[in-house]
Amino acid sequence: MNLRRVSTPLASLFAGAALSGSASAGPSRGSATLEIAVIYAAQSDAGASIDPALQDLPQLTRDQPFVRYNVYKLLERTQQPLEAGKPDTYGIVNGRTLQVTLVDVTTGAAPHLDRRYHVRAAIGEPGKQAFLKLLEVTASQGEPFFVGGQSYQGGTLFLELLVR
Amino acid sequence: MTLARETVLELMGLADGALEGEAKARAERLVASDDEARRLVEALKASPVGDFVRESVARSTDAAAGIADAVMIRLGPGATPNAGEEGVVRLAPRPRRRSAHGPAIVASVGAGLVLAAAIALYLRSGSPRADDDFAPVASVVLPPVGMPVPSASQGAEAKATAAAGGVEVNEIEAPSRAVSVFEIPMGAAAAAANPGRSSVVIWVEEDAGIAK
Repeated sequence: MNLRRVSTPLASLFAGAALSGSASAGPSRGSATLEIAVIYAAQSDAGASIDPALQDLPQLTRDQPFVRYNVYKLLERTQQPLEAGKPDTYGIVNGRTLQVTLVDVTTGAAPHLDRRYHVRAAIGEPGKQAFLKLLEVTASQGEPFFVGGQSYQGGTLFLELLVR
Repeated sequence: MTLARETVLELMGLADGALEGEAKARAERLVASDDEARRLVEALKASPVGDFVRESVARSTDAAAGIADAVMIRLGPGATPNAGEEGVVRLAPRPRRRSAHGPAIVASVGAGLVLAAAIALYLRSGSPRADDDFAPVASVVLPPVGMPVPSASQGAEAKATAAAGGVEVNEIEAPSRAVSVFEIPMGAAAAAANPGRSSVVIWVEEDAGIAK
């Protein structure tokens, strides 16, 4: 299925007209650093536990879809350089490959002067149908987003992606 | 809030101007006496895409059920089988279609998002949420057939593009898999740097064609 242009918060769909003055400046090619955190999540009757390395996660576990699980463990955290137009690949613990491409970098106009990174991601596995054929996201610097749902060892994987 | 699904649909009809006679009088009495009913009607009427929402709902009873579900979620746990799925825009799995249907799929997704946004607007206009009431957003299950509303969908895209800050999902393609987009609050570190913004979780069902 295809989905185009979801903006958060969702109500910003309506607020967009009022924010027209914040339209971004022209796109530019560039470089960035991609931070990837692979988080294992599971539901356990033995009790909840959250890896201390996941410092931001406790508050998120009150919300969907994190609330479905009570055990969280950071499997890996890595940083990789991104060059505009050059796909970067990362091997996920479940054998799939995450591919991320920096499309362009924009700098917002006042009052939002932060850099925004337009990235394209895909998760696939050789010889099989892609788990995620295409994901295009535009995120401000240092603002993470998650891709979840991959089954792994009785639980699931959350990939936390952050560009700065 | 104690609005039943049938009542919500009736209120949507009132906002749409489709009610007549006793049904209209009944709905108007409810709006006059019930704040939640009034806010729902006002949200549907005041929405910048209100006409589109009403048109979409009129064309799809499934979409109407989706809105009712979203409202029922707001009523509290147990009010609906989808209770607890707050903060999600769920996309029902569909077989991948060829290019002839591509625009309809995109339009359908756009329609769902606008419906969700309309409900979010309505819900967020309500009373301040309690500490244990986390995500007053919407759950929308798209109908299996795309709704022919490309112009409204394109309008939503343009507005989404203009929104600044946060994380903007431009496109998702996961053939034959159910995809949900959850709005979540920023983590503490990111929230400190960017107060008031939120992030997203793109949830892709592992089992192709199965929606939870």
